[in-house]
Amino acid sequence: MWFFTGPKIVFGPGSVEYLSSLGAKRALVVCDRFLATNGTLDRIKGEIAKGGTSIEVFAEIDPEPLVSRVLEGVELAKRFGPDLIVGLGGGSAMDVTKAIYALYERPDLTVYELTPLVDLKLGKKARLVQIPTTSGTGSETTWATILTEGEGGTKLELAHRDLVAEWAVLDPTLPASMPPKLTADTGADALCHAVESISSEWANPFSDALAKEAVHLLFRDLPRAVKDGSNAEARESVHYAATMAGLSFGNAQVGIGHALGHALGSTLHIPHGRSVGVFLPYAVEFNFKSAKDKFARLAPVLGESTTRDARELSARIRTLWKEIGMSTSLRDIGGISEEAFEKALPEMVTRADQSTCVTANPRMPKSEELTKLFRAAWNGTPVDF
Amino acid sequence: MVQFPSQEWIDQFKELLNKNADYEDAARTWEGDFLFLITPDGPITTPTAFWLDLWHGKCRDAKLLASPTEKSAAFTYEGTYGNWKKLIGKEIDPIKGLLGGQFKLRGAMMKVMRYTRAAKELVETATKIPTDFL
Repeated sequence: MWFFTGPKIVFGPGSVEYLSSLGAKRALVVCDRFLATNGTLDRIKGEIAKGGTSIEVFAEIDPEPLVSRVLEGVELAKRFGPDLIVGLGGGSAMDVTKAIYALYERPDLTVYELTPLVDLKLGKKARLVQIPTTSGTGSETTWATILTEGEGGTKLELAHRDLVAEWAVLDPTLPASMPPKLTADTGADALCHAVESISSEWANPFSDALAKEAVHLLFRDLPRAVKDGSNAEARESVHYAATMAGLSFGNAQVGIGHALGHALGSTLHIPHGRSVGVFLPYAVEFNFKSAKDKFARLAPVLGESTTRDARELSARIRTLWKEIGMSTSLRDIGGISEEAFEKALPEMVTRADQSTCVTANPRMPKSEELTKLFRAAWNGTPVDF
Repeated sequence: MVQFPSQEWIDQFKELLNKNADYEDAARTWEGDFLFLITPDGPITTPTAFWLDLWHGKCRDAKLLASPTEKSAAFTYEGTYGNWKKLIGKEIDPIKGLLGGQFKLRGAMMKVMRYTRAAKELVETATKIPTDFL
């Protein structure tokens, strides 16, 4: 027995106009700081206000958001009393929005109780809508929220099905202004979601179908979107692919690439897409023997010869990474000295080992194998163990 | 073949778990005892519980309790007899079983979720016991 959970989706250029139809009296918009300055927030507020809705804004979201930021947002929500909560931005903003929504609805809980084992019973006070402005995180579709305990602290991988938004609004004009590096980072995250989902122990026919199409669209259109951000067709394709990948992994789990990436990101402060992206080829090589049949499902998209061989599949991903300017080794990722890497290695291994992302990985990594994987990714050498 | 549930079964489980190097690696920092609670279903007509003292990758003690209330533990993992059979037969993943509602957990979920590999090794160990179900 398993489930497939997702939000209702409104999509297409101009789909933010739907926000005026939600019939809300008071809307709290939670967004990245940057969006409050580049006109995006004003555009969204304008659409919501057309429905006669009062609006409050919490535009304090940074990358790698801290639990303390969530609590600030909850206090604002309690004072304002919204019947609609809108997450606007990348993964951080949407993850924080989920947590604010949950704790506004259930002030008797702490963030640590946002687990599948607690009967949350949300939706009594407000509706939740998510609007991604980047194309990669998939947070608009998932029941996960990733928060950081304190500066440099462990990432809390929280989840509950009640955290899935009622609506996801996919307006491809919103990510149109993303610079090439951010387009590449977020797109790489989306590809990781799709590839790790299809190789997951919890993969299912629904998640597989979405992952396959996401892989197809991302290999085809991500390089075009990175090279020419004004290419509306490529932007739209990548935006939808990211949501498909989100729906896929949200119902099947990610894997060891994300466990390694979260450990790297939280320890050495590398942006999420870049940190999970660099590990994907190594994760594929590590998992391949245990998930041959699963990777073979990508044959219609990537070709039979590519999906029959670990090295060919990982090489195909590395070629895409090079095309979009992503690093293929930790040494080349920038900003990490060998000394810093070695010093952080034991902590990163512990964090990866204790990540929920390994739960459904097709091959359970031992701690010594995690160390070897970090070293392989540092040196850019193949995984041969 | 040993019967599940029985003291003989949990004795074998303890012995095999303490020989499982992968479990020892995955649970090397784990501290906390568990009640494995079997709720009435089919041939099991009264709640039945195993208690396991798990500490730093080893099982220090394990026993079939005379009553589930004989001991309290930091964590309780609870399911029907039918679902325990499926778990030991690897038809249910221990974590997916929690998310799907076939099993319930009492205790700090966040802590358990950091040891999912250890949880899988616990199940892997159970599958190695030649088990005779009721």
